[in-house]
Amino acid sequence: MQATSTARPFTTKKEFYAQFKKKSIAHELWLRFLKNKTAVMGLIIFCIIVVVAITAPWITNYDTVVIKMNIAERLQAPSMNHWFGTDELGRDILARIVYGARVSLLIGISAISVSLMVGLVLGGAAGYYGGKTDSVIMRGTDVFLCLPDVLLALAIIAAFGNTKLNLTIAIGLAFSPKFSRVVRSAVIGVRDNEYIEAARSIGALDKRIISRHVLPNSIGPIIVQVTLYVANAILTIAALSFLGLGIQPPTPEWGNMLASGRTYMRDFPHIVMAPGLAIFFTILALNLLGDGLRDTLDPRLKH
Amino acid sequence: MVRYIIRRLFALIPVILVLTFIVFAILSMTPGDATTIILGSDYTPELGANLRVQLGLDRPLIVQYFHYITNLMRGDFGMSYVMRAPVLDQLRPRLANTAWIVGSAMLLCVSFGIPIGIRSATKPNSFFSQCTMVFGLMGVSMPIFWLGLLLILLFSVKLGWLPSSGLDHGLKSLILPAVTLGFNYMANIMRTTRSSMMEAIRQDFIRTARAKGVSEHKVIYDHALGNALMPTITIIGMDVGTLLGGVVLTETVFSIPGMGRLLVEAINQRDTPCVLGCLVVMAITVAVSNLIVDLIYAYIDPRVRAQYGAKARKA
Amino acid sequence: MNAQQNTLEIKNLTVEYVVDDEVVHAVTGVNITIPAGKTFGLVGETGAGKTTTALSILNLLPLPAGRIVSGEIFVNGQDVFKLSPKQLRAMRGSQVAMVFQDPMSSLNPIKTVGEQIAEGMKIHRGVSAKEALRQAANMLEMVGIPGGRVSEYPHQFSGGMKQRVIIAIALACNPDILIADEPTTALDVTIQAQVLKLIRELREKSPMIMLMITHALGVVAEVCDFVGIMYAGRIVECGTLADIFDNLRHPYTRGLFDSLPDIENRRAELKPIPGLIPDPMNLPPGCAFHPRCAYAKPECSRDLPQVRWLSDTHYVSCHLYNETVENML
Repeated sequence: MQATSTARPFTTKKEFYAQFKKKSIAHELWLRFLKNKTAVMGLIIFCIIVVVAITAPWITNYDTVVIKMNIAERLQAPSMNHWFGTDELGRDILARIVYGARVSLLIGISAISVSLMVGLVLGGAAGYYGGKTDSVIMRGTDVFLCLPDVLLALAIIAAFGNTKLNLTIAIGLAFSPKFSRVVRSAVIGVRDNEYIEAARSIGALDKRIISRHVLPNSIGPIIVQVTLYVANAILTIAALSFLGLGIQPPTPEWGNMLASGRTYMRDFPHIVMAPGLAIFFTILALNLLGDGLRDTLDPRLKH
Repeated sequence: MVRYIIRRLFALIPVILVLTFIVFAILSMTPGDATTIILGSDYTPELGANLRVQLGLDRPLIVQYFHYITNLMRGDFGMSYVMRAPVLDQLRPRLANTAWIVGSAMLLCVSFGIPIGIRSATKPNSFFSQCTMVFGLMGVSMPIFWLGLLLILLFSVKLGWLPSSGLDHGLKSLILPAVTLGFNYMANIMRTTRSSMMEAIRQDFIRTARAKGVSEHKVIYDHALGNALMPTITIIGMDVGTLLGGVVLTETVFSIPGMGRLLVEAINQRDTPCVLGCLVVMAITVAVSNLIVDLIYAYIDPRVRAQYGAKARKA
Repeated sequence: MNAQQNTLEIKNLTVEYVVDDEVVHAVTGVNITIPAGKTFGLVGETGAGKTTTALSILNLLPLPAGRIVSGEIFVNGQDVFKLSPKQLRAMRGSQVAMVFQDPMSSLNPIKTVGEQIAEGMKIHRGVSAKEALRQAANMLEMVGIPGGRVSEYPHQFSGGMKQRVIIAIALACNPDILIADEPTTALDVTIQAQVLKLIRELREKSPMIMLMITHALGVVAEVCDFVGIMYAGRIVECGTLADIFDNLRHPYTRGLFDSLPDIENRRAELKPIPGLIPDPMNLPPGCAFHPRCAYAKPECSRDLPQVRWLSDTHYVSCHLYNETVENML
């Protein structure tokens, strides 16, 4: 009796190896990301905001439209001339929103870059070396975590004043402890994997191991958190500006626009709509994006 | 268990010390002379110098900090630069107001957030569950100071049902601030409860319970919930810090005389002892609530207790 | 518990899982009958459908994916699929009990083992909490664990003890039918021996029916009266212990026995069954085993083999036996 087989034989060596060749991982992840409708929406909205922020000078003129007071036209409801209406000093709200995007995005992203750098160093060291280094760094961050972001930023601003640079550093430092934790747990998740042991067993130096093996594999959760923290940072900037402790008028910032408009909102509610919606949609977009990235990169969801 | 509590209480002390030192150190770097603020228009270089020595502002940082801490333990928060009165006098009445708002927000969020989270976890594909997810997403993306303004526009200006500021109308005054403050918080609690319940229900021991004939109600609310509660409690406790950050905004929007507003005013007036006092109280509150969370963990999860208390026997 | 009434009958059971529009044929046309006091061993490799069959008896398939397509299961004469939820719950734990495969994750980490054993008693026997706990301590003693450990938590027990706790939970309400799903697979060999010994002792003491699911033939030899060989969701051969061990007919059964290493002949080559278990979403046409079968004929890839009774107790489902009962292997 002959044994039969349903397997199709490969005719060439090339065919045989072709079955193992995977599309590049980035490509695969991108395709998976695209399946998540809400995440894609978040990405689109965020891209729109970024584009608007970058092209602001071409959309409208800063000095004449955004800053210049125009009392005659103050507090007008939305119309064809002024899509979002005018504020209490007669300035076109849409133009101010557009420029406000620049401020928020710039400071938000810079601040988180600061956090990222600090977090990568501290968290990476804590996660990779473990032991004493880990304990010391973790106790340190534990302490800072007791002070919520807004309050820590407030303390720094109270002491040093609220220039743009200070704001960036204050918020950056405020998020660093949380970031260190994220990096640390990502590194720990990877560190104990066997391919790290394998790399070490062939004599690879720590620095090489960290950059070539640990970081690329732990980058997933870090990217997710970066996205979510940028959202948080933008929210914090708006909050601080709302309290009068962040970006000061006449520089347009969505938070301080809400603060100045507040006095007039009873009779002219339109004045608090646009800035609030801008903040809301920016943060929503980033949250959707972050959640989407998390779902895409979560290894547990791999079929 | 008692040993665990005592150990954690002791661990709390260095944390508070370091925390207060950090805040103290940051604020001591405030540029400008404290004496000019205190003396105001009466300032002369001589008076200023004398005052400096009187207040101990010429001493090294550590010494100043030491004095501050020892005073603090006696309940002395120092003197406000602006009001020329003990900081404690300003803090005390405001503390109660802030506590009211934070307390009601927490109560609201926990009593609604957890049941909704559980419900949407048991039927993950239902309309209710989808709504919960949408609300959760909206909730965490909403800037609460804007939400407060919108709520005022709707419920105060347009409908006239609720007061828009102050705490003079008793319970009615608390509603809008509590909802505003708790919005992000509740969304977080809902999302976390939902996902940790879904995770718990997938576990093998749930199958064991069902195979024993345990009623579905007990399976969900006893077996699953007990295991799912941990992450939720983490959020409830650890996010007290976020609530305190939010209360600053909420009190500003609703013009409530609480600690949050005091903090902002003090910063604007460069009244460092006052700023310090507010931040210290808030920091201590967060540290204590973290401790309470840890203790609740130990109470619920025997594995945590085992690490610190009863000896773990392995046969 | 009337010994005469004690029966388990599975008739023509077909179960599928629907995942993302793809259908997994987990169990197809399975028939099993177990009379009182006997133990039936369900043997097969991982993925053959054994656990699904077991879960169907309790109607505990994972929803929403699991679907009972057709068939009936009679526990002591009652049709399980026609029971109301309340009746179903009353049956679970008291008439039919199950011991699950992985002791590590089958116990609730935040409840004491005593509570978990007592829970069933409180539900089915209406005993007070205090009394239930006392009886739970007795159950622990019965499975060889000191009764005083009734107030300890699962993490304080080793793997073998956890499995014994799970057995205690299953036996707490004196079930008529015990389903044991790979009860010793996750354990060390020495512990395996202990647990098997325990199971044998329990069997001797009561007319309890046992469905023993395993992929280890050695375990089957120790405790089973009847054996069913399962492959890709179907029972390909079924009979008494003697029928299968001394007079096996199906090529797959042959393959299973051949793949056991011979301790007498240490130099002999191992004889594994070539190939892999088929993808349950994409079963081969005809007899599911034919791609791996050394005796395959043309009709094996076209038609499903019929069930052929070789004696009162022994049947096989293979094209080799369509005409004659002679042993073809």
